[in-house]
Amino acid sequence: MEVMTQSESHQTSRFRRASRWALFGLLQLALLTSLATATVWRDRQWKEATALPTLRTQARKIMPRYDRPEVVSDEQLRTVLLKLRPRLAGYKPKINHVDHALRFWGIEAEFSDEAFLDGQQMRSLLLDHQQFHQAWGTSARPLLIVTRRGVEVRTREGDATASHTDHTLAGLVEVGTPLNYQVKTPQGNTTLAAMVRASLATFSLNQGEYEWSALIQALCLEDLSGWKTSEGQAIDFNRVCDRLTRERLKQGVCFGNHRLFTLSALLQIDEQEHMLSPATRKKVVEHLQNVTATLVRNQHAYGYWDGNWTSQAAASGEDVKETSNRILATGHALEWWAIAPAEVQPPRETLVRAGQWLTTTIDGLDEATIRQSYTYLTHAGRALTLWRGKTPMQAISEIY
Amino acid sequence: MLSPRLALRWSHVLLVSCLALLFIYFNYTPLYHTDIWGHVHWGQQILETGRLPVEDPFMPLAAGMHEVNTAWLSQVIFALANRWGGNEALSNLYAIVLIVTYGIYLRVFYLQTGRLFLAFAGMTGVFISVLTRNAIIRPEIFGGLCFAILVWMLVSVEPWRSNAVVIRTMHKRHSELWRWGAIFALFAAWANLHGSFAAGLVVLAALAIGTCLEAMWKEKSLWACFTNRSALGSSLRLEVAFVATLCNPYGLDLLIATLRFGSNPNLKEVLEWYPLQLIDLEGITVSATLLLVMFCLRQSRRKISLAEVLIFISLLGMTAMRVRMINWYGPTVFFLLMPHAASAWRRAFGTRKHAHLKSEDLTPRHFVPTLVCGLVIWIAFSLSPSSKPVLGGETRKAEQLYSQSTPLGVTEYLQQHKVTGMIFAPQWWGDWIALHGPADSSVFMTTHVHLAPRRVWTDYLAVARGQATWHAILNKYSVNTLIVHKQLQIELAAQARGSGDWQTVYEDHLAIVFQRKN
Repeated sequence: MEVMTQSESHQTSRFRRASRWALFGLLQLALLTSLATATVWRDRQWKEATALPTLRTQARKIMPRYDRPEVVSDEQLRTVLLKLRPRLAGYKPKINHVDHALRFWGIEAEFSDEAFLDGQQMRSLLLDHQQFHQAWGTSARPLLIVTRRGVEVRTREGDATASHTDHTLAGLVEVGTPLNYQVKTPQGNTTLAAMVRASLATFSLNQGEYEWSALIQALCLEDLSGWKTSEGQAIDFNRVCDRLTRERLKQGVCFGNHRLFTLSALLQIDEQEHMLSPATRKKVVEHLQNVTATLVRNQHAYGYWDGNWTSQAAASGEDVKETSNRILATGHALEWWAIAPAEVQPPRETLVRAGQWLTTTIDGLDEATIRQSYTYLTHAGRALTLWRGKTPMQAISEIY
Repeated sequence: MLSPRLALRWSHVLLVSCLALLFIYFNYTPLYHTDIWGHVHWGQQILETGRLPVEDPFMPLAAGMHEVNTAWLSQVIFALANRWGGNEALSNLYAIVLIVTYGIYLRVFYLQTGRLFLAFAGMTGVFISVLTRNAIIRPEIFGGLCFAILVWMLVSVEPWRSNAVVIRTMHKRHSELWRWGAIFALFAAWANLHGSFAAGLVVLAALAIGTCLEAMWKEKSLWACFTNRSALGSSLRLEVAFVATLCNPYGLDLLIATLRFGSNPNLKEVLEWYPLQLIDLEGITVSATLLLVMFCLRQSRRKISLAEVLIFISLLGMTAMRVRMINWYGPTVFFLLMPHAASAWRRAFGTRKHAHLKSEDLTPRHFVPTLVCGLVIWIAFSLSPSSKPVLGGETRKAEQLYSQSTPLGVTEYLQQHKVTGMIFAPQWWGDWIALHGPADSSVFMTTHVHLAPRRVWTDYLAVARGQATWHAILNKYSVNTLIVHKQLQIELAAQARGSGDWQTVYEDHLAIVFQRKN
């Protein structure tokens, strides 16, 4: 009996020891598993923080604020618009002309003359690879590039490409193309949202041209409180405004005017969405007021500005190249003023002189000059239309 | 009656003299011109605000880039030292931390070998292997100290304990609880001092895996990793250390940030994050240590444990991928090597006569060497700038205190002329200028390159290298002041000199300052 008892107690002791080790082993496993899981989960959260923000289905719209017949009368506006109809039908239309024209004329544009492209036709040229290839031939590289980030627009690679980063996309969004609009790429169909996502995924606050990208973000993001770029930088529109106001005024394409348009657009969106802090809004308004003061100071007596608008009064002279630059500078200035709030507006006479000079000058241009300076002219035409609170088709509705 | 243990030998005098010289050397090592100033600045910011910055407060272009500050406690220490004794105090702190670190290695190697000569040789080997890292005061010195303490703790555990000549005959003086507490405290502090705590975790992980595998192999049982005392101890040590590293303001994020740090794309262009190259000084050093390892192992009669192999391979692999890891590889390789070096020594020169007797039993006692050691220590202390807070004396001139590459003249110019706006300067000067430059200015880039958005960093490189787009990039960032290193940025200097838009406003032997003309 004693031997059995000893054997039993030995077995019990072994069992207890084994149980303790098993329990210890399980606890170790639980600890390691939970630590590993927590680490992986947290790492995944880090990655998700740079996930792209949610997009709206329909983008916000920038609306004209004013109706000032003294800047451009109905008749003057019709005359300008008739001259600036998009004569782009045919073989190899310059893509930057097409995207500028679409932005100017809008989707609803329809022309009875087949020499002019309708709004829908222009949009198809940009978003339908088949249409693009019909216009440009199979030797041209596709306008729409499918990448792992989405769909990008080929830019700055010649006449069959866009001229500014995200300008094509911004124009499509501004004219009201819904984000679920079908886009036909060489690799298959997708939606406009894929193009917006590509813009977001490649965006860097310090990229060369960012003005149109910032505008797209303001128009398309569901939540305007902020997001993280692929570089890991948290940005919101306060930071975007800091960026837009950082450079010297004339720096950048189109004499720095794209920044001013985007700033004005952000102010307008902020009135509804309140995504700017009071300090930022104040800073942007002051910045634009300073720009307005500079423009007022440097306006030529005839009403135009040129490439030196920031530093000196516009020069006189009738050089054709100078005319193009003047149209560019004056058209852009009127365009951003048209959507800017009242507190940054120039005196009435500044606007009137600028509007009248543009109207008169455009009326006097020949076909060749119009074709050569078409992109600049679209800004001018758009500006004049905005100053009447209308769309171009509304303005020439009695003819079309 | 004085303890016989205080009766040192003349060999101790020699050793103390060498350490004294080393201490003086560290004291007179000039403060480097790079990231220490950023760390002091961050530390000041933390002390002033009472909070850890979530992004870089001194690099405006990095706004929005989230920072997990792995060295915040070091920065606070630097700032406190600076507050207490100015920049001299930084130099003193650096010397004290380093001499303590090397003192620990000396002690560890003596415990392993029982021979002062070998211990000193090991310590010298560590010094030479991390020579390129020694020159710069930065939070890494605290990481180095923590690593030394870790090594000191490990010498009394297997597989080193039984190979340690001195320690294996000692009674275990500390309780188990004390040891676990010490590991916990070490890693809790280390995680807040410097990101190198990850290297410590790697060592412990390799130790745990090695001892577990060996135990399982020896006992032919998977349960051996729990039942084997040594294996269990190693595993628990790793767990305790890991949990301790969570004791920081960021929690688990600190570990994730540390693990992700090396993969930051900006670091690809930073020299100390390059992979090891054999033609470089570090490559030659690593090659020399490999030859030494091969020689010692060939001569040694000691067994090599799997844990040692894993630790060695891990640290060597880390160094091969990132050359700055040599700071942990160097001490590790000598720590692993010392028992084998002692064995090789014994094989070559035999054991000492009457080695079983303690030396005190054989030699007559006198305290003259002890007194001489004391004198040497006092002389070293009084000759070093570290003594000034105690003994008084003049502070060193700027040319002696700071490295020759510190842009003293440039900073003076910037201050005198109250330069404002964004300044483009070499990133290694960015921290110095941010700290010592005019208050209304900001710098384009500091040494915190990992915080710069990628586009900003590539733009910085394009300008710094004088590439064709340099001028357009400076326009993009509205930079009106450009500082160029005369020797290291020859192309940019030539471009700026030849540009009609920039004018030279200051020049000295080190740098040129350009300002935009309009």
